[in-house]
Amino acid sequence: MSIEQPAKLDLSGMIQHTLGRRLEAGELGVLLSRAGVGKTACLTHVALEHLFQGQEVVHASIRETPETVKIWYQELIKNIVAAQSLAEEETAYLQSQVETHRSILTYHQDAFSPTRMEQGIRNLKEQIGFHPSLVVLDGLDFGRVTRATLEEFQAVLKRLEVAAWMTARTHRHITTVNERGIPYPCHDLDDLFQVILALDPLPDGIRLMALKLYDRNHPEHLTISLNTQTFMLKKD
Amino acid sequence: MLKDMSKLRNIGISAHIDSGKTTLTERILYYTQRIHAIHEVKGKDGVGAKMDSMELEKERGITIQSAATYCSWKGYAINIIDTPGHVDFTIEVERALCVLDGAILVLCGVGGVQSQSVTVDRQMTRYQVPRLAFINKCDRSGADPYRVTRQLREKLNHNAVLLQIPLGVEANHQGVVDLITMTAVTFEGEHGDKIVESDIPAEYLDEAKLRREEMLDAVSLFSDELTEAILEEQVTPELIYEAIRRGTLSMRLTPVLMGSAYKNKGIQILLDAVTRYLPNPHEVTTQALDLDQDEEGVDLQSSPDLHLVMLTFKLEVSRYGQLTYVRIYQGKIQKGDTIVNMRTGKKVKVGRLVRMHSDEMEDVDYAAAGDIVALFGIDCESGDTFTDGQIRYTMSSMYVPAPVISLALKPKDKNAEMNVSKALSRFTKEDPTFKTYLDDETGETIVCGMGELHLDVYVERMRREYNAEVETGMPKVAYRETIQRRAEFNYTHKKQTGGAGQYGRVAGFIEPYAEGDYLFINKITGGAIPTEYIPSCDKGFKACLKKGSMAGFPIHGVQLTINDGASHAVDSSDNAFQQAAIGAFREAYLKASPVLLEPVMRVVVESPSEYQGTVLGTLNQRRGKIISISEDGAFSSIESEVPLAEMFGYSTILRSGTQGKAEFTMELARYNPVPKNIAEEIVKEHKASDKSQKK
Repeated sequence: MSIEQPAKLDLSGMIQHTLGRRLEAGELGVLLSRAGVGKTACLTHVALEHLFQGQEVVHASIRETPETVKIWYQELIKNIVAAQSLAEEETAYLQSQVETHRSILTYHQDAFSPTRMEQGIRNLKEQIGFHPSLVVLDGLDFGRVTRATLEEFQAVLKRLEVAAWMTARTHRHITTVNERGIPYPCHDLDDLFQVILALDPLPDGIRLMALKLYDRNHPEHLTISLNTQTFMLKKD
Repeated sequence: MLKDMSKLRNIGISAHIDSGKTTLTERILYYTQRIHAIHEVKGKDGVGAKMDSMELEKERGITIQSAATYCSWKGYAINIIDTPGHVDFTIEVERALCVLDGAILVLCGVGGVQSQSVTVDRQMTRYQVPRLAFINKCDRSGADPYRVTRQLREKLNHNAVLLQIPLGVEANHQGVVDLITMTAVTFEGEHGDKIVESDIPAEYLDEAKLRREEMLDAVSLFSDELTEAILEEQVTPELIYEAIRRGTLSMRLTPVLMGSAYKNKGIQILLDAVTRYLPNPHEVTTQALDLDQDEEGVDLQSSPDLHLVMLTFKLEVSRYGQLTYVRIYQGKIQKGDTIVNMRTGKKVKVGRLVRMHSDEMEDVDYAAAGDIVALFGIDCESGDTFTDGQIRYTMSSMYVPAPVISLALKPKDKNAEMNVSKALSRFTKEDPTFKTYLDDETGETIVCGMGELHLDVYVERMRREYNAEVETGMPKVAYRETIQRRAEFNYTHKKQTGGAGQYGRVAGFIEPYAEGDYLFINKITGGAIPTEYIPSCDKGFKACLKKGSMAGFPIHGVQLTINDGASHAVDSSDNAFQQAAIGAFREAYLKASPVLLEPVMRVVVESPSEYQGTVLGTLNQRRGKIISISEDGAFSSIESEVPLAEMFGYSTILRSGTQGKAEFTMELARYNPVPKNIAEEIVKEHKASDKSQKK
């Protein structure tokens, strides 16, 4: 399924820029930051990069309602349209394209499990022919999640042949960092992720740093600045 | 008659169907001594609950029309509007909410916050109605008031605060632990009339202490006095009541109570909460529009000494005659007063004035600001505003959604024909979402409404209440036509075949109009069309909107601009320019890429998760677009958008696919273009029926 009229949008893909390519099926990436920096908006932006290219995406969220998830997309699209000086009508067009290619799955914290999500995505595949290439998972509580759950999540990604990005929250008061420079809460789980990116607030934007890129930790020159409204690359 | 308005509460009881709100109302009436025996909703005892006064409601076990009733509790007067829970009747809910000051949101202890609760809650927020939550059916297997409270927070975004915890759930449900007084409350006697307060049993004590702390944390935000008292360990129930009241009135806190109406548990405490936490009429600000000041908003004062302003919110033909329910916002009325309908300007004399107790009544001489009463013999429509004639205020109009479905009716005999006409006249007055008209071409009577069940109920009521047997056609979707691009027209209407001639030329363009249904723009300069014929052009265009030439459906969203034309000194006339405009419209319409639009419904299916795949399949087969799937516990809620045309008979399909365990609600989401292949079929059908009518 592809968008009939490709959107006149250049998202200056931050993932593309940082990684050099997208995550492939079965691969798992994580966005780390403290509360309020913009993990969810950044994750939504990653989803939009796929959606605007006509690929199908599952946005899974723990604790948020579908209404809230929809608002994240609406706001981000509105900001991107404004930043790109596109005509107002583009907003409605892009929203409808996003709605066509996105499915939202939400769970109460206790109701989430990788296998439950797998069943949901299989139902979408089998019953409505929805074949996502990406899953974004927001709100998983890393304070409670076990290694076994994440391993199961990775196995699910492989079985479903999808890539996934997720978010994890760091805490100012927990300063634990492993010998590879990966902070809490991923310090003892970093082998499970192919990519680990950290978001830090700047006075006039957000800094995105690669902490792990496949087999490299802290690769040099992989720090970029993002606009806080659009999560697009800052031109300067 | 109550003089002290601070002791009056106008409340609604709103919730998802089958949450037990009619049973709850019945118990309230029992404890407030309005009735002296308890009956069950589904009429097992052949009597039926008091609030379901219509026979049909008793049979189906659902509440269709909201009945207003009056009762008193510990010196407080309470007007209760029982509201329907099915989404097809939401206009009833909306109307009720419009005149209420507060509400009880009833939630099923097992089902929790279901899709209909979300719809009703959204409506309550729109009308700024402070509410209490009552978690009912705590005695049922699977009941979990904590889960329901969490859903109130997460799904409805309420700052839900438990004022009680259950004293046992499911079969072990005995009563509640009151976290304010820290006592265990049980309800004894045959109908739970005897309230017994005792020490909290040891096994509940830790939980109660913990929940009380949480409650105090939440409610102290609304009272500095309470915060101080907590620090000084001098907390009294009165301080807590006052803080909860403030939080509730500001709609920043939702007190949560619980029990089981069916098992007579928790109702009296709920009544206490209604009087303690919900607002009196003085505490609610209502605005009217001043017709003499360009509809500028004016705040009404809930005082009997000011000019009368009252709103009719429900018409009902009872066995005593036509009843008009009104809410008085300002001023007072008494028998013999003359009041003026602001819509028609007609004066009416107030005859009988009554308080309703479901379908029984009590005569009163006088009613004042804040009251809900019913009048006899007033000719008006639902939503009309009345004043004493000294001021010209109107209450802001209530939002009325456009009908999405229609059905052809054919009376079976002459007698039925008369009765159908009587019934339709009454139903359309009572319910603004129910409309009727005569199809000029087929001669059939068409009724339109908000869904299959909505129309079914009215057809059934015709049979039962008016003895009018009717045959019904297949339900039809209210399609629309619109255009997708701009097209020019330049049309000359010329007729000179005997008699007076006709001449008019109209030129301009038609284009899509997103902001409304129709816009006419005159850009004629230099008198190419004389000024007196400009309205004729407008009229001609408007005449074309009723029936599009694509498939005969009404046209929406077009803008017509005229910029040139010609006239004849003798042969031009109003009619000639109307005909020219009609010709011009037809010329341009087909060039402007007309397209059929269909109503698309937001359909939410609640189902056990094991049926998620099945439900997705049923929606997909109906051209449904899946928006989201939410999972909580063992339940899934699937949100989708489905064309209405595909939803006929869906309830049967859903029931059989899920062993009756799933249910759905739907409401109009938007109008979308009909896919090409389906549109072609509809156009073909239209042409065929057009042809057969012409024969």
